[in-house]
Amino acid sequence: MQIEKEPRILAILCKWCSYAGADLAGTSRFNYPANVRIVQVPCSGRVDPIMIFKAFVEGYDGVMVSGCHPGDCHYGTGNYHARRRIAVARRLLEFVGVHPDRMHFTWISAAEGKKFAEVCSEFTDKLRHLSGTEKTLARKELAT
Amino acid sequence: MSKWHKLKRTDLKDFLSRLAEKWEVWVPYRVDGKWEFGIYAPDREMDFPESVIHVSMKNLFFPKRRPIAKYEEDSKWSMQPVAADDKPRIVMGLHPCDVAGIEYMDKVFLNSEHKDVLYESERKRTVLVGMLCSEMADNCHCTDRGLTPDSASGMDVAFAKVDDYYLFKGMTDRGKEIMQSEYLKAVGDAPEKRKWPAGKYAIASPEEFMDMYDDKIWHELSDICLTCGICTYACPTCVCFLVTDEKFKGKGERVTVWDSCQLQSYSRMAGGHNTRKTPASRVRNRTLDKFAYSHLRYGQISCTGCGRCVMVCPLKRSFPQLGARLSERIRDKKKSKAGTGARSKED
Amino acid sequence: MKAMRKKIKELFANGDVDVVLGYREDPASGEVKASVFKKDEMLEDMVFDERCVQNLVNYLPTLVARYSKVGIVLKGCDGRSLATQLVEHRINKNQIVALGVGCEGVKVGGKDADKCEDCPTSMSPVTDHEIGDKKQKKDPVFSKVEEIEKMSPAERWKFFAEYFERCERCYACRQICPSCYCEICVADQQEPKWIEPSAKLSANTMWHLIRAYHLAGRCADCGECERVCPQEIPMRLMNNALEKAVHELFGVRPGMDPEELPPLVVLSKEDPDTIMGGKHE
Repeated sequence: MQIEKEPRILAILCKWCSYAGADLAGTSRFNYPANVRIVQVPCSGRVDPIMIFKAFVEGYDGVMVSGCHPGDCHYGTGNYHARRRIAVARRLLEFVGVHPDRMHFTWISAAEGKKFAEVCSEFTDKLRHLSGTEKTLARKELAT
Repeated sequence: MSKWHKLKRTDLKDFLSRLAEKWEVWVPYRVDGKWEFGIYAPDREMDFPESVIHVSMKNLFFPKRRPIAKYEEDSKWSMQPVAADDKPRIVMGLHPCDVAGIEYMDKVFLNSEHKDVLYESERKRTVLVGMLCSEMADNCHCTDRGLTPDSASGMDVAFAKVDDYYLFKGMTDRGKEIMQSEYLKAVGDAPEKRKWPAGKYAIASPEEFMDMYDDKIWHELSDICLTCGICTYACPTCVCFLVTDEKFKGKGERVTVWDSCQLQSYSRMAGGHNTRKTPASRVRNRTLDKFAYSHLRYGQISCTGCGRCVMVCPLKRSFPQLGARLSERIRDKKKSKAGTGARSKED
Repeated sequence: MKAMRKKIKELFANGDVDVVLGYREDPASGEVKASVFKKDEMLEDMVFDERCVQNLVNYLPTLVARYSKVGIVLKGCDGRSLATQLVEHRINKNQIVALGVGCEGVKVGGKDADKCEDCPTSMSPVTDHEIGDKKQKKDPVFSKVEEIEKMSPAERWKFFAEYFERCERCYACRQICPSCYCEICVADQQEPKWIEPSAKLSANTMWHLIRAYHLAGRCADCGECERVCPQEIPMRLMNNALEKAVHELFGVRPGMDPEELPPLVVLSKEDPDTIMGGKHE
């Protein structure tokens, strides 16, 4: 299976900053590609790498995780934990054959609607460049 | 009864290719030193193993993952049972212990009130072409379980490897059609009958095993077991499965998947209680199931003596030896009871 | 060997241990197996040589529940494994008497075990008594991991998918691992079903990824998972890749220090954002 021209992207966003940022991007009428599907989590510290693995196995072209900027976490330290977990999960995914450009991890605050739109466009562009290459990890059908 | 027929080894490929015109022919292949079963293809090198191989035949009749119903988003997720496959099939190269395993599975899946229709269709479409063993492998102990390595009971067609030819014999009506092949030439002499060694892993009776339920020995034994599930997957008579739903892209399947009583999750119930939490209780369950419970339910113990559990065990532990060790313990217990007339202090 | 037996006899005599976990050569079959030695029992069958491959730490939790003082014979790798268990408070150090033995390397199937090539410790990092010589060892290189890292993503996936496809999901790797001790494993969960129970590529991939990830920063590379795998899946490769990653990212080598918390349990405000990949301003 190959990465498509119009990639499907899963964005896992924290409730307090990044999701609000995405909201702001909408209300401010910034344009960004419609390839992004958003999942809201209470905190980036809630992001279990198994979610990222599952997204790739179920056929997403790219996965993006975003939370509050370091120091701004609503719960104090959730994003510091997230940073370590994601760093390790990323290394594992790269090791078994996921292209590094298929993952994007960043911080977006509630005021950064513009940044959210930019990140989405950038990430989508990166994935479009990969179109035609093998979509590793993705399952093909029910029985595989 | 029909006669033994001779097939030259050089004719084997032609013989199989002819069969493959009508049947789906399954034969053993050796890949990277390991055996596996596959559909016959003339360009693939194949051979018949002298004795039991580490993969069990179970997968051909009761697959690892088996869809039993399908549903789709388009049809509002309404469930449709999976249609049974009825293409005629030959499975070639099973050994007497495999056939015994299939006969046991028949008792579980076919003789009860609720028949397993998919299993039944797999059985109905299959002609069993069994191979008589020419040797006993290291872990083989079917002679201790009432079988003979060169008995053809339960097979539709039996064959044996002799020097540079094979000897075939039709055992049932279903096997007759295969026997009509032009490559088979009738001969009078049957393959030589051999005397097989026995008594390697003799075991106690099912009733005696039932008495061992509360014995302390299980704690000693479980220390040697990882309680992984590989022995149950390799065992020709382990038939436990779990039913689960799998979904992907608007399609769903309800499937049966092999389960294993050796895994913690097997006996965990809703609410979290686990009736077999300790490895000891799980090892006990498997041992007693093989040597006692199966006898209570189906009138025969469910170990066929194929020795696959030893072949695949990550710690190279011997399950039949465990059975023998227990039987020894039973004998000791009896002796001490007979001697003192009371339970021994240790128990 | 003599010194070890003498030491153990001494420990039994002083009442320092109730039982000792060690390796025993079965006089009948000649096989070397993990065994629990009691006072004045079978001690003459105790061995320690290149056949003692098994990691004994996996047996400790059941033993410390049954006895108040347990002695354990430790190779270098087992000692690292014990350290990871101590720091996770799975075992109370006061209940353990650690007998570190200078290890010369072990053999699996007649060949030197792969894990010995990258072994950083000939002697356990946790010891109460040391027997034999301690050799100076270098930090692991993980040359096999580096080989994989030279491949393209598609090649890497081809390599791993072939192995994942073979997995039978017997969970021998989980059962033998001292660090895999969840009450309910994520693979056994029905709801949410992150990992489907059937043995197929997609579900097997999920299993192997999450197994490796859960051991990141905790795996001390005892190599047991790979040794017991009936399908010979190279699980150590993934473990090592993460060991390497954890060392590069956080400067931690699991198992070397029984006081140091696993890197994914603690947090650091000083971590640079670049560890997550990509560019950050």
